[in-house]
Amino acid sequence: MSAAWRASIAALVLALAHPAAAQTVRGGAPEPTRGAVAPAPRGTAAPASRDGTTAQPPRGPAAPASRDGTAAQPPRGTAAPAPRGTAAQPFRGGAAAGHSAVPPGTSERARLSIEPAGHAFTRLSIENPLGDVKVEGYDGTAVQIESHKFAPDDEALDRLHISLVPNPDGTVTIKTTADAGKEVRPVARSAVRIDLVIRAPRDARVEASVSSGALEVVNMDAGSDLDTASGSISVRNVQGEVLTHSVSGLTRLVQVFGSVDAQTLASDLDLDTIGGERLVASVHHGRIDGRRVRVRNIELTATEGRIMLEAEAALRGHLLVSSFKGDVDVQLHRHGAVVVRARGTRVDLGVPSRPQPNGWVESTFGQAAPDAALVEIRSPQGNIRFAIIESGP
Amino acid sequence: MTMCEKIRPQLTAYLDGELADDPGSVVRGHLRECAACRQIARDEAALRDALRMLAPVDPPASLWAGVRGQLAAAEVADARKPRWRRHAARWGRWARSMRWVPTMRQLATASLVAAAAIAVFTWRGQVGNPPPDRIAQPQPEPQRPPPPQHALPAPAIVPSPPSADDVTADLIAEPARTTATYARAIEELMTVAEETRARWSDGDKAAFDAHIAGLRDAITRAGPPRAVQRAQRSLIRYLQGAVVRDDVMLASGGTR
Repeated sequence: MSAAWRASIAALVLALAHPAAAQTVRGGAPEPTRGAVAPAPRGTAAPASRDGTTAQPPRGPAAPASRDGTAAQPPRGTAAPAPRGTAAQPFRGGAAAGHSAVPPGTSERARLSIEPAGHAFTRLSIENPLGDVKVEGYDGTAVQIESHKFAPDDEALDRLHISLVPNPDGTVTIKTTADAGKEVRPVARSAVRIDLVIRAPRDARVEASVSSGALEVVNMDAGSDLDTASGSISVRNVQGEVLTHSVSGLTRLVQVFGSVDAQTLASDLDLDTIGGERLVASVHHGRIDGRRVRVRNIELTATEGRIMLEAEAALRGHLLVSSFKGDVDVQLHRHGAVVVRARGTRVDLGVPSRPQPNGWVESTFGQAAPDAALVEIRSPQGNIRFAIIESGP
Repeated sequence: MTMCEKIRPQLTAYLDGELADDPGSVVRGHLRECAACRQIARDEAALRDALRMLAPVDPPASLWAGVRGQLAAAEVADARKPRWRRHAARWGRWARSMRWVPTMRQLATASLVAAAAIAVFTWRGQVGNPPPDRIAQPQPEPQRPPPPQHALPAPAIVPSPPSADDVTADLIAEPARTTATYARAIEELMTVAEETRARWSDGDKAAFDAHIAGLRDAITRAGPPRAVQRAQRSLIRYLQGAVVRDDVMLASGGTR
């Protein structure tokens, strides 16, 4: 086959994944370290290639380097070469230690860094149904990815792939898959795993989904949209619009500033130090715990489960806290007037109050004013307790 | 012609190991001296490595369907070909596989032999056969209906479905499981809503039913599983608002 043919085929394969990738590529492929080499502990650097130069992972996530020979990464013909980048190099070893869900077998670690070409990375789209994802913001411009695959044997390990596609619109798409192949020996899903640790520019928005793995986003400034099945969600020190959905994974949001919309079906929701304009959170079966919440408009809803909220009332703020079948406990820091209305099996507003004919119990704290905050609490089949824990003017 | 111009066309063959000792030695020697050609050879080798690293692309199901159709059509067409054309095609494939390229002299000789053979056959036919006006004219072949689609032979290459206990199958099945879980939650909430709506006015009930119908329709119209789940979450949110917060009554101005 001539060089021209090879270049054409390579360009075509890459162009299928991404038109901008239709460029001639070249790169070296150092062999991974296999067999008896013990895996490095998590978070450590992967070994450099044998010649000390940059290299790509030779397995699933591998891809030819770009023309300048510094970066690379399209696996399975679906990813485009990175415009520019630094080294990536996997190795393989024995069973990884220190990971609770890691089955015994072999593992492979790879690291990759891609730099934006002309335009900044503004969005990170991640789908990893095979393991954990951690995204950590930092002050750089590159996206740095560390992947760690686990499988019972090399054959199974070879079926695990990570694709990376940098798009011209500033989106970096990362997906993990397990190839079916032909005549492969069946491998249980619990026996394989891909964990991703990604460092991304702070001002990139993160859209990520995992299945049963843990999803963690830390130190980002442009919000996130996170989705899990049974995996937990953890968001810490994130600004912007944060959306989370989980079927049965514990969701924990800490130090989130902006707009929050969190929804779970059968798990608890933990909110700590939330600030901004809007907080909407709902669970179907599970509890909601909120502490240090300072949001103007709050809606917390549980079908079956208790709600505990410790919040600060904002001027003209509106707090709507409802549980169909569960107790509700609201403690409020007050700086101005607050009007509280509650209806439940038993209502305790902390001050003497009499139920109205329509079943609502109402009380006003502070001087009645047009900018008073309004608190509405419902629990048709539960008890309600409200308290002012710090009085203002 | 410079040495570089002579060597460069041979680089691919050299890297493929297709050059014999002597020409290979010449190329090797030139690469030791010429940095430009050496760089080209490195690029070529790197490209070869990169191509080797590309994992095979899984063809989509539609591609298999297309291949299956084309295989079937080709087989049908092959079956309808005259026998001599099938033999000729087979000889052609054999000749190509043997890398035999006839020279002009060989072609001319073959043409002469063929012409002589035709002349002999023609002469013998005229001797042994009745006059042309007595030869029966060939009847047009009756139109045959095309073979039914289900009668086409199955292609030899059929991607086997992943084993049910394999990771790939589990990944494929997961969106459906999640969707089913959301659907169960919706039905739970609908049951609660049925109990709650006893307190609603007819107008509230009609508004609720219309809203539910719209949200269910959105679920039906949503394509990919993720979009379906998003629509399901919207319905769950609405139902929670209706049954937990009395949003239906609030929307109609009813008493709280």
